[in-house]
Amino acid sequence: MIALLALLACGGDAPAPSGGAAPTAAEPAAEPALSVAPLPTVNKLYRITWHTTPAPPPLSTLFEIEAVVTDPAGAPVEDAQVRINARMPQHGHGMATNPEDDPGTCDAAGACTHPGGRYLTRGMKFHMPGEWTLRFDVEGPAGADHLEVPLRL
Amino acid sequence: MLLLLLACAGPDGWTEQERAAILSLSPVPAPAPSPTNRVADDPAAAKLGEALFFDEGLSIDGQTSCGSCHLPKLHFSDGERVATALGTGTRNTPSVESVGWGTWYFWDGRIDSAWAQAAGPLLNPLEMGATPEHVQARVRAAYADEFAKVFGGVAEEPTATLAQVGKALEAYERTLGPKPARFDRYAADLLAGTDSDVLSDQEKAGLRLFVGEASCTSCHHGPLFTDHSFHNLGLPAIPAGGIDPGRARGAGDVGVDPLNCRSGHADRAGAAAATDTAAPGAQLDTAAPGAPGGPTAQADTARSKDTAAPAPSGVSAADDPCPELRYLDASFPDWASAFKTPSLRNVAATAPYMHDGQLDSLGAVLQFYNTLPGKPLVGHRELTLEPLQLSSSELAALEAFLRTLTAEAPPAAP
Ligand SMILES: [Cu+2]
Repeated sequence: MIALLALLACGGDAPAPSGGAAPTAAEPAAEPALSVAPLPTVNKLYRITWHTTPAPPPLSTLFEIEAVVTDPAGAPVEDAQVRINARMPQHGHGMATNPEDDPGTCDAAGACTHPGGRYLTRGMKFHMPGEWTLRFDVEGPAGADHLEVPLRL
Repeated sequence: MLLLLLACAGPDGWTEQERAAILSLSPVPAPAPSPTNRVADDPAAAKLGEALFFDEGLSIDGQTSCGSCHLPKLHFSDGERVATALGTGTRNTPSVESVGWGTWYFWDGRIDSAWAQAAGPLLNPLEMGATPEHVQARVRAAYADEFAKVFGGVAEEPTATLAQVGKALEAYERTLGPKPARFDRYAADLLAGTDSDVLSDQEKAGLRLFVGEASCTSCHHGPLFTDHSFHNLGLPAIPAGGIDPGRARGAGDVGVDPLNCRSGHADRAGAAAATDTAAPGAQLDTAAPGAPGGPTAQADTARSKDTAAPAPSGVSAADDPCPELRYLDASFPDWASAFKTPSLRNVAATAPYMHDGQLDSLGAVLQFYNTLPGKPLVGHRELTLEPLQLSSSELAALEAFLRTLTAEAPPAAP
């Protein structure tokens, strides 16, 4: 067992990691594809927490993204319009898919809300590795605002 | 303690990042599920598919089979610049070994399943030149028992029979997946943390360039060494058949392909096998690649872009069995003259290279990437591409590494 642990801890011949944690064979320099704390939109009208399924988003594979939108005090914003998209700014292109925003919970008259402030978008795909920018556009009771999140794949 | 010392003596001085990148390239996993083909992993279907693959009786002249251009000794490619059967096409014959992991098929991705792809060359007038009726007659005469066992019988409708043939062919092709190559033995050693001389110093230097400075893994990543996507390389030569729009046309064509995921020929989990239900009004497109005419993609109201195959009304996004078709952007601007990234598995055996076979050797391919001569005729060259500007010894190392991805040739046709 000790030998096994030692093998795991050795990894490659990189500059010796200090501390006891075993280096893992994680994706090179990937940022977590999950916001752990709510992020304010640029004009601070809303706050957004988001995650992808699967997480982190795999390369060249369809994934979903869910954003939870609240007001600055943390109360869910349930009747906004939220658009989620992604671009590679250095390459001047977006995704090669047309994502779809889930309409939420709709009544017979077609009026929709998003209970808990949850907004789901399907059909996202990162077809290239590199620098992507995830963009959330929110149009809600307090006005229009957006958030951009850089991601490296 | 001895083990510890051996392990830390370090396999070949890779950084953590390099090691992770190398291990992400091996081993080849089992094929991905093929949800629209119920018999994709049925051994009896694979055996039937093998017989069909080498059956010249399926062609209109009785002299051409799938195996005429997909030669086992060349890892199921043909060694020619472009395919020649009944006629001469405009594109290079790709290997069929990696069909089990794809999303889009043919160089332009105009087909969305391996079984629908396999049916294509049977009808192509430049390849096997058959009609669905001819295929059905051959199947009834030669494979009635096998079809009874695998499909419960030969479908009544000729196009449905053609779909069955494609599904058996796919089942066979899925068994041909790339076998472990020398590189995989090296990666296994690396994973185990042992020093390894499975690769030479030159090959290791090539591998270091491949995952590092040369950025080959930008597109050739994962155990199949492909991103399953499409890129415009800005290749120098003017193709003999004129400018090939590649993915720009294929992305629209796949939405109206009569054997696509939305067609009545696609099997569905939990439903009876699709054997006799043709898509209403669908017409088989027997045109060779490069023929005019594509679909008129409909505008997606939500995002005002073209969607390849808008979902039929009532199919919600959560339950759509064809998500790739649903979300594909048929008008993505970078599709102009873009072609599918080929797998690099067994690449040493599949010359010549590129979608039109214009580069004769691996050395010529690397020389192209080293200088990126000329300008694209259509669209723009993939923006991640920059001339590699490597020395001749570095290019030789890269080529030596690429050759370690090639396993022994499969056995000859039965
Ligand atoms: Cu890009």
